[in-house]
Amino acid sequence: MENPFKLIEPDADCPPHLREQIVSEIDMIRNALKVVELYTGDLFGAFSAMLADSAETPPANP
Amino acid sequence: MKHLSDEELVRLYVSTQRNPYFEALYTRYCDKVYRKCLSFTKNSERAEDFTHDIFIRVVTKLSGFREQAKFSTWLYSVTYNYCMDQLRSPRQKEVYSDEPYEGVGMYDDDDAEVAEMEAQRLNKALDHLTSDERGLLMMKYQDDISIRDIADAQQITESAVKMRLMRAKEKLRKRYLEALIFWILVGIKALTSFK
Repeated sequence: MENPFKLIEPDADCPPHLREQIVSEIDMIRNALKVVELYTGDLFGAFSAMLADSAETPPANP
Repeated sequence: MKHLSDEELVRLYVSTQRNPYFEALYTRYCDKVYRKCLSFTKNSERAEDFTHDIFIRVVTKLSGFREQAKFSTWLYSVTYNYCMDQLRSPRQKEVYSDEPYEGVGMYDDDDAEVAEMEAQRLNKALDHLTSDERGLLMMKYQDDISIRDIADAQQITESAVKMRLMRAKEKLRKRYLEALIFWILVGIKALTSFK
């Protein structure tokens, strides 16, 4: 006897336009993450370079 | 790309972040996920929204896929969890008790009773169950997901899954029999009034 749970599964297909929507949203998420990574990475780099600079500079004589 | 397994596609997508690998996975599973969402929502637009959100969630979680289960099992778990979360009523958010209660015996893996149910009546009886109960029964009987994998997906113990399955099955059986008796009575009434 066939499992009735398998028989009640709908046979509709996923709308084709959904693929484009999802792929473009994934691209958008990826790009947003790249921008965040770029900015935070650069900011961190600039901040650490600034700290290194100030540590290397000898204090001015009075 | 057809020769690649699901797990290989996941690895390739995570390491390269190239869309074609994700699209191949999407092509393999979009109908299946959409149908599951449709089973829960009974509404094509809502099922479409759910499918969209599930695949976005899958992409963001793909790097966390540890291959402890098959990709399809993992994807169905994400799908069921999403649908169950979305459709859970506030009343249902009470804490589940996984203690055995009187009137119900131990978990029985014999599913002969389920197999004998008539599909359309079963579908109607399922409508009377909560989304959690429906999801659990569908995971077990529609997708043949093991108790262990269901437990992992739901983050509960295997014995808790068995207990919840048993309760859901019991409730389904009651609803199914109620509907059956109702239609038998309607039939008898129709016959007697015809005479």
